[in-house]
Amino acid sequence: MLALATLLLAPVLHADEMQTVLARFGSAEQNLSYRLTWVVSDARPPQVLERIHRAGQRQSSLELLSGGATATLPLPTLPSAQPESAQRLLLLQQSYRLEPRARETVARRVVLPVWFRPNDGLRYATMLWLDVETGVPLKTQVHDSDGRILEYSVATALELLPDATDPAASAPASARNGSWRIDPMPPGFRMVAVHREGAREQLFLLDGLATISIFVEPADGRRTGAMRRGAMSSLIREQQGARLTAVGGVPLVTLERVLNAAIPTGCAGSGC
Amino acid sequence: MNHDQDGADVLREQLSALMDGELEGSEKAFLMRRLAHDQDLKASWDRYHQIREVLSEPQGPRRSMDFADRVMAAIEAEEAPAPQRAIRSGGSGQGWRQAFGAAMAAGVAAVAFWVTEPVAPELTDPGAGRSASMVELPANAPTLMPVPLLAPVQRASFGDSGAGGTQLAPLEAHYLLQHAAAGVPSAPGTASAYVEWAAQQR
Repeated sequence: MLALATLLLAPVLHADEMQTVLARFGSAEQNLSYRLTWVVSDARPPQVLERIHRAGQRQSSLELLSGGATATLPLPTLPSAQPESAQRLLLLQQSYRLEPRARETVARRVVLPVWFRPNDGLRYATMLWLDVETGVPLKTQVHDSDGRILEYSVATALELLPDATDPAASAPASARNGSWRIDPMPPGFRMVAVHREGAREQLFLLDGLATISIFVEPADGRRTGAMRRGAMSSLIREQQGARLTAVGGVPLVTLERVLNAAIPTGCAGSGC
Repeated sequence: MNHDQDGADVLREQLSALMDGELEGSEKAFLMRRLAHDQDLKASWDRYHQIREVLSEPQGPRRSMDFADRVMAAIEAEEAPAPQRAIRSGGSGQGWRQAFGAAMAAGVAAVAFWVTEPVAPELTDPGAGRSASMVELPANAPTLMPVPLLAPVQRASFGDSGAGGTQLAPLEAHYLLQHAAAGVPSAPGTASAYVEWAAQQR
């Protein structure tokens, strides 16, 4: 009887815990500094990376342990790019069914596996193993609609780091409106940030989990086309005098839908 | 590369050699003493061990024996020489680094086995009915292949190397990395973006 009760209550217990862990997940990137050693792979040989994320200094560095390369990435912690956890949860629930599973252990830490099953074919099914204490995903799997794994990552170590906020570090400037808009927007997605850097503009779309960037530049007659590798797709077109590069962890059909709906607003420069 | 970086590289090489049981004499004694006091070095040692464990069974216990057996079979069946993918280059004949390279080589084969947990059957890609025009990437394809699209867009024309597809140009890799950096690290596609970046570093 006790076993049966435990079995029946398990989904409820997992669901309660999921809300807590998802809240941590939604704010981890903005609030936590950590060192993560990661094995990542798609259909190619795995790579071992070390990522040092410093929220207070707004930057994240990558070191390719299996190749010796390094890169420092500015963190575009635009207020709207990483919505508050509650807001993000709402976004997630519009597009995914969330299904928690029983706790597991990854990298010697307790994790809660959560399935993000999409409501349509515009995004991939994803399973995240979320660190219960911090919300940092320690393992990920992305599946296509046939259940094939397109990419995976798994952490071998998570080390939380002390980090002081650096007042000199500033996030990239965020514009209110982009020079292009997406209308109609694919279901579930929102444009959450616009970032300008010289002649290039990056529009950032989010459905709570999957992300799409649209890079807008002046048309220059360079190559265009589409590609897909693992879970990452890219589509490049030139239209109406602009070169649009859509990149995202979504099926190509979603990028097509986005660029088909791209409309210039006539808004450019610092006034937007 | 500065002296600090050189020193760090030497230490990592020595760690790898120690892990292989190839470090002897005064070098081994020195490193063991240093491991006892140097927390960073100790952390690297631990990470190397964990990486080796994970690479030996990347899917974890849920797929454990069957999956591991097949990966091991793939490693053993790997006829081509293992690619030189040591943690740090410069050594030769290093045991666990060879295993690391073999595991990576087997990774390609292993991916083919990961067709296990089906997602909800009601999931359908809006373009699935037209999927005949999509091209599946072969496991051993070069880094990138043009993919014919469903809607009328310009035919993919990346590079000019003809058959077999081409590498992404550095600019496109920059897009991928910038996109990955802008999103949450767990977003779908992030791992692929990092793998692409890594591939272009070689």
